[in-house]
Amino acid sequence: MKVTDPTEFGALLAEHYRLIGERSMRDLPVYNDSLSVEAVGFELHGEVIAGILITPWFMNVVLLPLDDRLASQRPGASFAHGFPVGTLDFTVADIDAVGRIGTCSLFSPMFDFGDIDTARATATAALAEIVSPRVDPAAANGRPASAVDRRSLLRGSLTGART
Amino acid sequence: MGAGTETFYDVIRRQGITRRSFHKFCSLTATSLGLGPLAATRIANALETKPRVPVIWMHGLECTCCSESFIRSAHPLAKDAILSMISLDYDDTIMAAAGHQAEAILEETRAKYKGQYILAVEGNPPLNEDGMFCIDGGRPFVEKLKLMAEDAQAIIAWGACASWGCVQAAKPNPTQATPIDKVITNKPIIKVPGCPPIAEVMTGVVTFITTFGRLPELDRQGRPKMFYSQRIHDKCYRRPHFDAGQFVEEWDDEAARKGFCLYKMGCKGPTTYNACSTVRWNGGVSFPIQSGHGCIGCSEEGFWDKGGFYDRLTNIKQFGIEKNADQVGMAAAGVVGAAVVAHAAVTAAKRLATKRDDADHTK
Repeated sequence: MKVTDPTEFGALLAEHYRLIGERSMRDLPVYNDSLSVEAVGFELHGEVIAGILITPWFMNVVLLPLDDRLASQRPGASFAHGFPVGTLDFTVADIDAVGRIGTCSLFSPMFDFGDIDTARATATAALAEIVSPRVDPAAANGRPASAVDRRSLLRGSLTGART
Repeated sequence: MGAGTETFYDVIRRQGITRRSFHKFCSLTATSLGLGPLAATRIANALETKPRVPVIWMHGLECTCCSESFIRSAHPLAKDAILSMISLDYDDTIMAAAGHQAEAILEETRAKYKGQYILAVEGNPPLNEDGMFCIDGGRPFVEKLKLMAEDAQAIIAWGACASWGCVQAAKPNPTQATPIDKVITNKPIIKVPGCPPIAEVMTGVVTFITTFGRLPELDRQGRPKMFYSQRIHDKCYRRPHFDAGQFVEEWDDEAARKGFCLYKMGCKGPTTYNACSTVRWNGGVSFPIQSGHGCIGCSEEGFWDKGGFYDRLTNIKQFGIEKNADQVGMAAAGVVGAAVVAHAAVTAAKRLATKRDDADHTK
């Protein structure tokens, strides 16, 4: 059965990658011994669960769509998902424990992080940037936020002067 | 020779290309530059109204793979578009002129378009023995290069040769092959590394410069950010296998057939900044990792002297992330306070997001 609870999803994911770390990654030069696996900020955002997964060899934004949009995608395929910060491209991955997810790389390898606290702080800050609505200076001035609006279209100011 | 005030649009219309195709080309180009739909309109507008920019394309010590890549741009219009958009006045590989006639073109362009033409350089000059290892038109290439650079508006360094030196500069570098930015120090140089660079990247750079009349935004190493700010590793379709610790252990094993990660087979994706894993090659058909071979890191400085292509990367700590201009704060993040961490995180998050707004690039 598919996981629908964000916290449970984060925990399952962390457990899965903890095992991978022990089994396959620990002896490789890309493994940062001062870090551990941790799921940060997994929450429901509309139709998707999103959060950041920290491991000693990568930090990814992880997405679990609750609809079946990934059912027809091949693992390794790329799909886009819109967040307030902009559109992020995710790669489809099949994970035994949780099923089909999307991953988007933030950092890898992880040698710039001296300890898990720094990594966690970075993940929290990155997640905040990704999911918080962007304050548009134009909108704050009472002007339309979008560059394409009816008024400028009709006035022809989108295309500029053709001399 | 020079097209006077003729625009790109005039030329392609004369060649029988429809207005519809022209607009399609503009929007495809805008997309490849990572710009929004408004930029396509601006590109179209510029190509219809601005006179064509003359380009001089010189060859030093090189193998011509950059030219081969360039003329194989996937878009059906590329042959007409790019070769019409730029008035390619001199390129000893594809021009009809030869001998004294060819040399005369250089002089003529230099005089007529002083400070306006773009100098595209493929290959590099060897400096040893007063440049005698590369003679072009009866004199050392380095002299010709310096002369043409003097009156150029901007200079494009095509490929790993012009940008970093490449194999002809490999230790002990007997001819003293030298990247062009060590020879030309008073002009803006845009580096488009790769061996060769991706065709769409090359045409994208030329289109940007000719359309907007300036260089695109560059990183600290002088590469256009729009194509060189992503690492192969970050956008690789095999990345989930790396994350899951699933590696090819030897050629043609079960893991290789399943398409697992090639890190253990020497893939340099984790330290290579290029657009291969997103733009891909041959019109987006494939790229080395997709055909089962690791990335050799051909767009990175010194890749030819960094050990075997099949040696596993073990010194990732020394290069890679910190070379990315967008992440300069990261190296210090381990020791400095929360402000630096937050800054690095925000920068990394923004870097992931597709541009919502093309204003920064096209104004």
